[in-house]
Amino acid sequence: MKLSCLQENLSKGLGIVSRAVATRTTLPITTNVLLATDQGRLKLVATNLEIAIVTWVGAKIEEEGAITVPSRVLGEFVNSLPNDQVDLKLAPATKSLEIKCARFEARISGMDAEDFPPIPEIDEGTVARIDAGVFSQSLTRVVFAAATEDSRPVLTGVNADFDGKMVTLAAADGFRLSVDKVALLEPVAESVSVIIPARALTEVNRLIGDSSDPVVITVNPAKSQVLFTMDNVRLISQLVQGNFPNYSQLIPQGHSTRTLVDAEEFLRATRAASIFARDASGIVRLQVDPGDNGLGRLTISARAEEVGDDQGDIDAKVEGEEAKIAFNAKYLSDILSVLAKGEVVLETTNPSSPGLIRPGGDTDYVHVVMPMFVQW
Amino acid sequence: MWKIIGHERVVEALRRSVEQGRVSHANLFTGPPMIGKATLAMNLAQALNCLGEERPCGECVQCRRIRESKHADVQVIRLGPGLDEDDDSHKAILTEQIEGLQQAAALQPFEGRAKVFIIEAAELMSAAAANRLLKTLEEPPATVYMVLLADDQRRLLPTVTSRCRVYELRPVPLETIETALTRDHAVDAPEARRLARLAEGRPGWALAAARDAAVLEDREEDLNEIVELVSQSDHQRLAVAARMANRFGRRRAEVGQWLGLLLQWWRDLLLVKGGRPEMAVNADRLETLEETAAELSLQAIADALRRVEEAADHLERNVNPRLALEVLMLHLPVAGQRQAALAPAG
Amino acid sequence: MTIGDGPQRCILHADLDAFYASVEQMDRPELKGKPVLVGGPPEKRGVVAACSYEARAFGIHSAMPMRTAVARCPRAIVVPPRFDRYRELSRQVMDIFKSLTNLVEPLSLDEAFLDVTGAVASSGAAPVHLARELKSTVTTKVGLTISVGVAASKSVAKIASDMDKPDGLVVVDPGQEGAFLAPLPIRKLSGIGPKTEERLRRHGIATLGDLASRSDDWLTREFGKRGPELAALSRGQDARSVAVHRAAKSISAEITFPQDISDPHELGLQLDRLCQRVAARLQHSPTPGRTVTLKLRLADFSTFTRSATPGVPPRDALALGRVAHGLLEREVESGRRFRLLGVGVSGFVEQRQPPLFDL
Repeated sequence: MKLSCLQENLSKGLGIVSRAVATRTTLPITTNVLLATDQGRLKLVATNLEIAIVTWVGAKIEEEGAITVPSRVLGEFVNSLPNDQVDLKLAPATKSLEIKCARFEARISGMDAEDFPPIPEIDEGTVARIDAGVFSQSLTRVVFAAATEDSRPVLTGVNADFDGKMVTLAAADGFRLSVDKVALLEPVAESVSVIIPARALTEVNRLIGDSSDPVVITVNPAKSQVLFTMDNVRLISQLVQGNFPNYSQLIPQGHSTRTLVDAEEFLRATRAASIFARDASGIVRLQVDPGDNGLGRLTISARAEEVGDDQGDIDAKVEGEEAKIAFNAKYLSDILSVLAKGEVVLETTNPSSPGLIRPGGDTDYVHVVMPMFVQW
Repeated sequence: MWKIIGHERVVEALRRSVEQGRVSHANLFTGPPMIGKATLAMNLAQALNCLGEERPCGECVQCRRIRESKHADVQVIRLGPGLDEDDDSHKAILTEQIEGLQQAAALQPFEGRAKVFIIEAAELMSAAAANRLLKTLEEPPATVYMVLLADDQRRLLPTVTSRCRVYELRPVPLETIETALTRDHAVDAPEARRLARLAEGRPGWALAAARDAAVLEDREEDLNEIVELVSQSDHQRLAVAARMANRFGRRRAEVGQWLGLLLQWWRDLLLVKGGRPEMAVNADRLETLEETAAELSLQAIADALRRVEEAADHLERNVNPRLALEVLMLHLPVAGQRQAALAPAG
Repeated sequence: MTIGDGPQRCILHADLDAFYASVEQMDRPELKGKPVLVGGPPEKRGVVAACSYEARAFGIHSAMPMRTAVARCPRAIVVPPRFDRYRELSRQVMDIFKSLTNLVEPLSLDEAFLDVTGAVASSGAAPVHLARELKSTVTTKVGLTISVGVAASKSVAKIASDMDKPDGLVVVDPGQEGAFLAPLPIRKLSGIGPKTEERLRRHGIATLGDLASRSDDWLTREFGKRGPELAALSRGQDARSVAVHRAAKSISAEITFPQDISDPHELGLQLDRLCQRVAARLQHSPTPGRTVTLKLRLADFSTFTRSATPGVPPRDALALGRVAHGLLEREVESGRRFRLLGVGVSGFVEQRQPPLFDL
C-alpha cells in the first residue's frame, strides 16, 4: 500500500471513524482503524462490534493494500501534523505504516487487515430514504428517552417500525416513552420492525450534522444489521435482539385537562423549580387553573424541606377541569429541552395517571411520562 | 469433525443437539484442569457457526476464525489481567466483565450465526458477577449460547448450575491419549505411553508436555522435592510450606498443580504398599516408591493421603494458606531412614 | 391498658378478599369460579402466594408449597403473580379509603385500618352504614370485594373482618367486645403464633375467654410482660391508634452461623437465602426501599454494616442479591471469619416515581 492524501482530509476522516473505535474489548484489533485503498480513494473503517463507521478520503493511490493500526496513535499523530500532503506507505515485512508529512516521519506498528472483523456488506434488504432534517429532529425527540443501563437490553434501543411511507420511532426507559411518526421520501417495499441501539442513533444524528442529503436506511434481510448511508459516511449497527414492549397501550387515549403553554416559558419555570426539587426527590408540582374563558394559568413549584421552595406562574390556555400533577424534574426538563420552541401541550387525567406532552400544532410526536405520587 | 481427545459420549450428545438445533443456551462443562473443557467449548462454538456440511468442519472461514481467536461473536471471559501480570491473588471474574458480556449478548451476531460466550474458571466469578449472570442464563437472547467451564461444579452457586445443562468430563483412558499422541501429534511410542500415564486422564496435559519440554522438567523438579519431604526435618518442611504459601498468593493454579502432584505421589505409595505397583502413575520411579513404602505403615500412608486432600480442600475454602500448608507439612510421616538418622542426635 | 377518655372510637379493618387471586379472576374472566393459585410454578419450587376461595375448599392456603397445592387440586390453575398490577389496584382501593378519612393505616397491599370516628361524628351516620358504603364503593369502582370489621379498637376490628369472609361485614358494638371474643380460639388474636398457642394450651387456655379470665400476676409469672398485654387484647382492650405513617422502616433478615464461616462460596449461598427471604417480604411492600444494608459480625464479635443505594430500588431477590453480593465481596478476605450475616432494605419513601410500565 502506498498513497498520498491531504492532512486535513485524513484528520477529518479519522475523527469520524474514531467514534466507533472500541475502548474496552475482548478483540484487541478493534482498537485499531483499518486503512485500505478502495477504487482510487483511501477507505477508513473502525468498529466496536456494536457499530462500524466507514468513510473515504480522496487520495492518490500508487499501490493497493490494507493495514490496521492503533486508532489513537494514528489519530493523534495526524492531528499534530501541518496541513500538507501526507504520504502513507506500508512496509509489509514489518507490518508497519510509514507516514511522511512535510519534515515529519513516523512508523506505526500494525496488524493484518485480514484479521479485522469483516464489516457487513449490506447490499440488499429493506431500503428506506428519509430527509436528513426530518430524521435528525425525530432522533433528537426520541433517542433521549431510551434506557441507559443494560439490565433491560431492549430498552437501550429505539424501536423503528417502517410501514408504507412512514417510520415510527419509539424509545422508553420504563418511566417515560417517546414516540414519533415521520414520513419517508418513498414507501418501503415491505414493512419491517427493528430495535436499533440508541448509541448508534446518537452517532447517526451527529454524523448527519448540517447535511441536507437524504439518509438511506437499509435493514438486511436477516434483520440483524442496519446500514445508514450518509454523505460519504456509512454507519452499520448490529440490531438489538428481543421484543420491544407494546407501547401503544401506554399512550393515554383521553384526558380531562388540556393545557397549552409556551415551551420556553415552561422550560424556564421547570429549570427554576429543579433547583429546589434536587433536595426533594426531584419532585416538581404542576397545578393547572382553567381561569375564565380558557385563559388560565400553569403553576410550577417545588419545595424542599430545610432548603426552601419556589413557584412560577405562566399563562396557559386550558380546556377542561383544574388539575394537579407532579413530575420528576429531570424528565420534565428533558422533554421540554428537545421541544425547545413554540407551543407545548400537556394532557392530564388525574395525579396518578401518565401525562402526555406534545408540541403544539400538527405532529405525530408524543411523550408520555409517569407522574410522581406526592401528598398534595 | 469434533477435534478433541476422548469424551466420546459428551461429544456425541453435543453433536446430536447441534444436528437437531437443540443446543442448550446455558451449558456447564466440568472436569479437572486440562481435561478438555476449553477445547470442547471451542468445538461447540465452531459447530454453532460452521458453514460446512458436517459441523464443525474445521475448514470454513467461521471455523478458522474461531480457532484463531479472531471471531467477533465468540468471546472468552477469563480472569482480568491485574496490574502485575504474575499476580492473580484475590482475582475474580468481575461484575464489569459480565456486564460487558451482557451488553454484547443483547446484539445480533456480527459475523456468525451464534454468539458464544465461554467463561473460563467460572468458579472464580465473584458472587456479584455470578448473580449478575443469572438473568442471561435464564433468558438468553435467541442467538446467544453460554458455556461455563469449571473444575468443580460444587464451587459454583447452585442458582447458576441449576440454570445450566451440565456436561461432566471424566478422565480419558490412557490408551486413548496414547493413541492420539502417536497418531495425530507425532510423539514416539514410549514417550506417548509415559506422557499418557503421567497425564492421569487429562489429554490437555499430555499435549502440553509433548509440545513443551519445560512442562515435564518442572514436573520432575517438583516431584524431586516431594519425594524428599519424608526424609526432611520440620525446619526444612516449614520452609517448603512458606514458599508454597507465598506462591499461592500470586499464582494459585501452580500450587494446585503441586498439591495434585503430592496427592499423586502418595496415592502411588499406597498402591505400591497395597501390592499394585503396576497401577502407579510414577512408574519410572518405582524403585523410590518401593523404598519409601517399605519404611512407612499402610496406616501412615493412608493418613498422609487424607491430610493432603484436607489441605487442598482448606485452600479452596479460603483458610489461611500458610497455616493449611504448615499443618500439612508437619503431619506428613517421617520415613525410617530419617528417624534412624535423627535418633542418635536427638 | 385501658381505653382512654374522649369520644367512643370507631375503627374499621378492611381486608380485600383473596386479593391476588381475585385480581387474576377479575382480569381474566375465564378464571372466575375456578380454583386459582397465584405463585411460582411447582417445577420451580414455588409457593402459593394467594389462592381463590374455590381453591381453599381443597384445603389449600397461602405459603403452602405449590407442589403440595397442585397435588391437592390437580385442576387448579397456577398463575404467576403480577405485583405491579396488585400495587396499582391497592393504590386505587387505598385512595377510596382515604376519601372517607385521612386516618388510614395500610398494613399491606390488601388490608388497612381506618379511623372513622370523625366521619361518624360529622355525618351522624351509623358506623355500619359507612362500612356498607365503603364496601359498595370499592366493588363498583375497582371491581373487588372487601370484608370489613367495625369495632372500637384495632384488634377487635381486625378479628371481626375475618369472621364473615368473603364480602363480609361484622360490627362489634362498644361494650360487647368481651362477649364477642370469649368463644374464639386464641389463634385468632394476631400476636399469638403456633408456639405461643402451644404454651397457652398446655395451661388449659384454648379460647380468648380462657385467656381473659386469668390474672395479670399469673400471666406475668408464666409469660412475662407479654402475658398481661395479650390478656388485655383478649378482653378487647386495645388503645393503639391508627398510625397514618406506618411505612416499614426496614425489612431485614439475618442468620447467626452455628460455626464461623470464612468460605466466600458458603457465605454467598447464605446471602442468597437471606436475599430471597427479604425479597419475598419486599414484594408485599407498597413502596420500594432504596437502601440495602449488609450486616456482618466477625469471629471476634465486632459488628458492622455496609450500605449502598442503587439507582433502581431492588424489588426481587435477583436485584437485591446484586447489591448485597457487591457489598459482601469487598468484605471477604482470606482468613476473615464471619459469625453473623444479615441483609436489610430500608429507606421506604412515600413519595416516589412509579414506573410507566414494567418489563
